[in-house]
Amino acid sequence: MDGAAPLSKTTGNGEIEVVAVTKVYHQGAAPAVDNLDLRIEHGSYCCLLGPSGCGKTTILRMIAGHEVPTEGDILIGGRNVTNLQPVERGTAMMFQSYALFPHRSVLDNVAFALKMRGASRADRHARARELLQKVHLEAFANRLPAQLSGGQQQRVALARALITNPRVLLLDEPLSALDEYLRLQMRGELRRVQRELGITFIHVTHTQLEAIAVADTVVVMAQGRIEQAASARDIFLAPRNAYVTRFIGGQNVLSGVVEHVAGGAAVAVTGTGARIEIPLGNAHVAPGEQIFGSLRRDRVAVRRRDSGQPAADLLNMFAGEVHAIENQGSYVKMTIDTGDGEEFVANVLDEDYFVDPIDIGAPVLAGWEPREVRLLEDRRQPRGAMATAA
Amino acid sequence: MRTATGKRPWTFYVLAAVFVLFVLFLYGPMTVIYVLSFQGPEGGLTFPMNGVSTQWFHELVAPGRSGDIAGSFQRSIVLAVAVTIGTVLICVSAGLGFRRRFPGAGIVFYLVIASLVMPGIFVGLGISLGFQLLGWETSWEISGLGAQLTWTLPFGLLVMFAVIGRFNRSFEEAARDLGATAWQRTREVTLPILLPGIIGVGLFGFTLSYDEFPRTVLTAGSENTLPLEIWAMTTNVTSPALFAVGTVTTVISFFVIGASLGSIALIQRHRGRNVRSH
Repeated sequence: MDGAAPLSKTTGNGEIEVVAVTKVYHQGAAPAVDNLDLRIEHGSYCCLLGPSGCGKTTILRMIAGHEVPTEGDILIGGRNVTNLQPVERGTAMMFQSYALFPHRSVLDNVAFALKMRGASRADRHARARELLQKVHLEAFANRLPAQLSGGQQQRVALARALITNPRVLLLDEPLSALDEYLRLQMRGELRRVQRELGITFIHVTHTQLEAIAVADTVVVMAQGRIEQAASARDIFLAPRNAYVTRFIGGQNVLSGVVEHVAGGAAVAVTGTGARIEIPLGNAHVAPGEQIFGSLRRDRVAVRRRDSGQPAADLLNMFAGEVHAIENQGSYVKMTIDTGDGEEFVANVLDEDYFVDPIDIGAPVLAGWEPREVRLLEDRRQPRGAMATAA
Repeated sequence: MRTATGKRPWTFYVLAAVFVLFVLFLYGPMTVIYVLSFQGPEGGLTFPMNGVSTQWFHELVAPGRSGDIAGSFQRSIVLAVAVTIGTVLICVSAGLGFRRRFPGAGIVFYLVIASLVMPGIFVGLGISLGFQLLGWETSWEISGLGAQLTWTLPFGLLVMFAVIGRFNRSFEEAARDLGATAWQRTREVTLPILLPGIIGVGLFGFTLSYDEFPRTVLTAGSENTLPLEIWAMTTNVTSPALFAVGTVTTVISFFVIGASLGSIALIQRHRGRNVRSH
């Protein structure tokens, strides 16, 4: 948004606190949101990330006031808004399908909130034109929504939501209806608008890269709970547990049963008999426990293995067969079948890979430096309770 | 549909024959009536045509000779408009109300829909007996209107369900989010978006009422609606004026349907094509 004048700033505090919130849609069914606590700082860009059915949209709708929590409270700017109407909360929501009113012109769509507040026709149209200018759609003011492209419709929805100067903007899968090119363009634009306005954005998505690309804070959810809430960089580099690691991608999950602990690292035996070293830091693990580690895909080195060479007694190295090769341009994604069921991927720099391209089906050795492995919080006891510590 | 060899399957011919029969049964007799309504002044109720004239249409307007066509037509139109308004008001409210499940919703729905399978003549008989019992006089404005509504409401409600089933609730949520009150939401968003479907409900109400016979015959009281008048005419009028009535009422029906569909098309065009509301 490089319009002439900056959009008017809102003064309200858009800090959001979700306190012990549970949402049950049907009596007896599993809760959509389960005793969840979350704090989102004023003026930050937060992404709620998770697979469908994880409760992310439910949280968004409860913050917006379109759903009432079964238990718990929602605070915005320190004020309890749990039982307030959406309009009393200082929030605005952008709907997944934009929900632009098909019978109203673009201008009247944007001016709708002001009309509801009783503003005069001249006033609300003037303000709506101002906002349309910010999203570069002033030329389309008299069109109907159906006459706009998906990207234009999205910008109208954005202008319509911002006309009341909300302190919090809630976006439900805002990019899911766009094609890839527009999606990349619009996510940058959303981030820029958020920076310019300085208000809180909460953006629901199921796309990992989208969340990491735009957000200050990423909240990874599963089954109505938060698995990890951290900065986008930490979510990517330091996932807390195996679930987050697998969901975000970019890292492999390693697991093995602890054989012994030596020199600040645990040596664990994997399902296929290979040994891996996992640095422990301050953590304590006991022999016999199954532990998990994460390993960045781009820190794995792959080389050919002679088929006669035994695949036993490997340390920090897996033997396997190349299962799939995907050229990603600047790197090549090699999926290696190591025989233990867990996906193992090596991202090899393109210039390294094409020196000696390894084909699908070729036997390989994939190795890494032990310091690249990070211990995850998951633990599995050898016997008895199979509880996962997470 | 053609098979790979270019031959049509035998089912094509069966279905085509059924369709031809359908067209013949529907449009054949009607066409005969339209043609015969222009029978010459000396002509009779059957072919051959004895010249061409509009004499029988003139006779319709002149009272006395062929029954009270003009009066019954007026009554039918007034009644159909009243039924249309009642059907639209009740069905739209009920359709919107049924979106939220309430205790007994299923029973209420089936009670309404059951009206579709009740024999109309007995519904009319029951209503007229009920009026008699209470010492009230049957009349087309009161008992006739009520009897026709028992017929149009279930149809209107079913149409409304289909219309609302395609309505995206996020329109209403967006309106609420933007500060619209419940009444503002209904007036500014829900009703305008549903308008084409609501016109359809009204069209159903109008056409079902305009040619309703079994429920009306015993409840219209002393004054006839148009279908009742025509029925009476078939027994005592032996001139092509009868056919002229058929032609006029058909033209009016087509006019009403054309106006309704035209206004729906106009609204859709105004909103642009390919309006998706997924």
